Amino acid sequence: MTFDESSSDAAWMERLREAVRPATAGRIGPYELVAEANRGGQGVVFRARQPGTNRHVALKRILGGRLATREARARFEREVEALCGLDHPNIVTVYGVESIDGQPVLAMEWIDGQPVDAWARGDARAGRPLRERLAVFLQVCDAVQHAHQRGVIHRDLKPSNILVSATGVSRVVDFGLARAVDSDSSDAARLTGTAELLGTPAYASPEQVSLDRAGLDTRTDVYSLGAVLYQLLCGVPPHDASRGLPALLEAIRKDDPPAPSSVAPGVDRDLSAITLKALARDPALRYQSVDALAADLRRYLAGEPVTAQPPSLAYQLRKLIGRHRTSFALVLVVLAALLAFAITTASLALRLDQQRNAAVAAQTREADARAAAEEVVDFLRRMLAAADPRKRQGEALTVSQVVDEALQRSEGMFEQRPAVDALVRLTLGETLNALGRHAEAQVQLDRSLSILRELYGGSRKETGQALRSLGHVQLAQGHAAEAAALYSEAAEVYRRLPSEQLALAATLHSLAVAHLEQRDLALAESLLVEAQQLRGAKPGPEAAESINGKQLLASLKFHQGQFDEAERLALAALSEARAALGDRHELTIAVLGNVAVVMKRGGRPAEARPYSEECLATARLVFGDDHPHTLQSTANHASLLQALGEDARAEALYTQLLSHYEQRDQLELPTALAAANNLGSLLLSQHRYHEAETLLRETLDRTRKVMGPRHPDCAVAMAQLATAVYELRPDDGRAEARQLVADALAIMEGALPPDHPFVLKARSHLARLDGE
Amino acid sequence: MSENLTRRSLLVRVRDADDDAAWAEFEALYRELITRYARVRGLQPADADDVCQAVMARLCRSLRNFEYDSRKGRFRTYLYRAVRNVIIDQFARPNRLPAAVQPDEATLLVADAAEGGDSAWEREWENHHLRTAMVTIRRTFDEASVQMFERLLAGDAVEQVAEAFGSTPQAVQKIKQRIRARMQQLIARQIAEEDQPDAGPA
Repeated sequence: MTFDESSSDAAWMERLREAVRPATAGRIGPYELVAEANRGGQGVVFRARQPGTNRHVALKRILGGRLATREARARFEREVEALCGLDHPNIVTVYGVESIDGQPVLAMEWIDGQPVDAWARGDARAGRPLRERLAVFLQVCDAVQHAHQRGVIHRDLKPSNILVSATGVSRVVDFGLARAVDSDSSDAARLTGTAELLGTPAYASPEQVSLDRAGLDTRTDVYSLGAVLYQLLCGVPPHDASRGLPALLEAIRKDDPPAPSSVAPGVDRDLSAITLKALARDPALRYQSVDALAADLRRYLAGEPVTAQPPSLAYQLRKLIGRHRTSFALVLVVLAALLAFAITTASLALRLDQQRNAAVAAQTREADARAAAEEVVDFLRRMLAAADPRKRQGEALTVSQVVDEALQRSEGMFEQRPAVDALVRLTLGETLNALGRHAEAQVQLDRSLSILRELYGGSRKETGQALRSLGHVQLAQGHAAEAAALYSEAAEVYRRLPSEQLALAATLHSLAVAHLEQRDLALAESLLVEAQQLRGAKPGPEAAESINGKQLLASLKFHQGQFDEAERLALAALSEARAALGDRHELTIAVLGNVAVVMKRGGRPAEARPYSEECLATARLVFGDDHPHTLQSTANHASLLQALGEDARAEALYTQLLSHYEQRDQLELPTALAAANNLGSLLLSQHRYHEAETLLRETLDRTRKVMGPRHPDCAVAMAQLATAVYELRPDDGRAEARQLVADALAIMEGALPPDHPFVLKARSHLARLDGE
Repeated sequence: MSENLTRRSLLVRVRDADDDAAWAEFEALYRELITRYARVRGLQPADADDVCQAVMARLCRSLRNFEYDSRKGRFRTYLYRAVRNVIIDQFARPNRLPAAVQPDEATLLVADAAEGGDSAWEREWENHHLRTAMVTIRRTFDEASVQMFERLLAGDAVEQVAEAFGSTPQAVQKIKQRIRARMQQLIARQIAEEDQPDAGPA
């Protein structure tokens, strides 16, 4: 048999897990059950699929007996109606209530997440950074405030009602459900009477647990939020629940909790004061609204004085200095990359290639190089100084602005010193390309390359660097063949320089990517092997290189149709990247995106979702909205949403992307082409043939122009266009549709196995167009 | 039903038009395999359901008419062809243009069937046998062992499970090993039965 009987226990269990993971586990009413998620105080939660769509919903079956009378039911339904009106990104959407098998079932958005306390603990090694925890807590505050403005009090805020997704987005669940289900009894009766069911009331406010039935207002939620904040900071709730329920209730009513700063080492006095103010036993002494609490936390995060503590002059001053240091530090971090490159280039420039050196007038060149390097460093240093907010009235600069300024200043500045000019342009060109400003990058790099060639011929590391960067510019614009030619040339330069074997390996890696883009898998694989061998010879390869190697190998396996292997490699690359580089490294983000793509194409789009969401959210955070990486992640996420049947969201993302590219006249970039093609398929699936035809004609023209007329992407666009043409004009359009399909088939038959769904579809499509 | 009883293989029993239970069992087991495979091949859920329905109708006919002959080839291959043919037919059905091919990320266009075999089918077929064996395990092992194993399968650590059941990690480990070994036996028998349904129980 084909099963691997010798696999490790863990691998075998994982295999079995995959096999028994329910595709569909039955039904509740019209819903297809996927799994039972958990049993909570108010009912059992099921994960289910909505009929006709691929949308997952959470179904909460209210436990029997609680809504026995018709009046109770009517009231429940009224309350739920109010919940349906809450529309906030951090509140779980309630779709409505249905009666299924005579029992009320609440249908809600399905959230993949973990309770906020578990999330805050992070993995075994370390908890989440304080700032991340606070950022999530602020989302919760916004959500609760939103509900308060609509007259809904949560009344049961606690960590298990706050779910955090893998991407750090929190969602509050069960808004007002405590009241909706049990509005007869007081909260005190509910909490004490059914404590067993609800878990301990460790996050309930003193007025909720006291027996005199004072009316509850929004400030009870302020208290519970304070208790949640306490848990997030200290890892324990404010009052010790281990001594039993009566003792706990007594403590909530009568004791102040120990200050967070005395419990958790990383919590300073300001933060501690904020938490304690929210937890004041007398509602009048608390923050009077959730907004006030959130505002104070934001002040704390911005380094401003907080209201929770009477400010002294020294305190205010300390804060002011701290704030300025922080924002300047941010600018420095961004610019450090530029400077680091300049310094590397400078020191490398000093180590001239020995062979070449002996043959030419060595000393002049070395002096030249040294002077050039010093000037580059000097130039960049001045750019950094100009970015100091203290000289610019605190105005923060983006990298793009710094580069603009550098471009302006460098113009003509180094005419007399071509070696410096070349290096400055090389640096600026690479930065521009990284920012997605490809055309400008091309200008700088072309100029840099021609100066370098004039000065040194093809024998310098910098020449190789400029060629490779030019290759990156081409590849980023989808010109894989041009990129490959440039990479080959760069590799030739490095091959002549024995000290540049690692640079050679990196270049071969890039070359492999370019060939992979052109679907020359065999060549890509052999280049990859050579690159690995070159690196293997060097002791201790960098983590980033090892991750990159795995990542590329994963892409290769993916293109070869070995999804399992591709997924295994991508996941391995991901855990390596997370461990070695952190969650926010460029490479980690790229690997996340690939994991999502591989899983999606492996037929498990729902599992791909958290990876894709994390990829997009982190890319937005790290690179900003307009960066090429963010745009690529957006396109991929849209495609995933489309696969999950969330057409409206997918379409919004595609439209947003395309208008972005259109404004910048960049509709010919590969990501734009892919997004246009995908939007085309979405329009077709909704029978919007006119829109689809217009879009697909333009896209096909562009794809042909950029990728060449025989690229598989052309075939995809052609097949889609054929559908639109035929649907719109079954008679007049038939000849054209037929031709499009035949041409698409001709392209794809060369590229895909004969039983690939695309080929099968195209063939049957063709047969029908002929036969009708 | 005890697994130790001598019994006719399911593939033989479904030929009996009166044995509704056999057909129900057969359908439950194979429906999932077919649907999952269709999904892996990129079909939307509704299309996958259609494919499954059509394959089942075809199988019901061919098995009861003795069109399928185990001497001429393995059931697994026969089923694979049936599924594929239905997928092809489905797209060739008149009055319905195929749904547009879902193109993908520009950098990741796929060729998904590895040369010389359909790895997706192999994988789904293997999963099918793992599932089938798991059904028998659930039915035949004592409840406590099954529950412990399900917890492990849900991702709990051996230590957690031991604690929850007042047992020792060693004991839990042992149960896991017993179930794994038993599943391997079961799968071997299932495959033998599938390949030679008329040969009697292995």
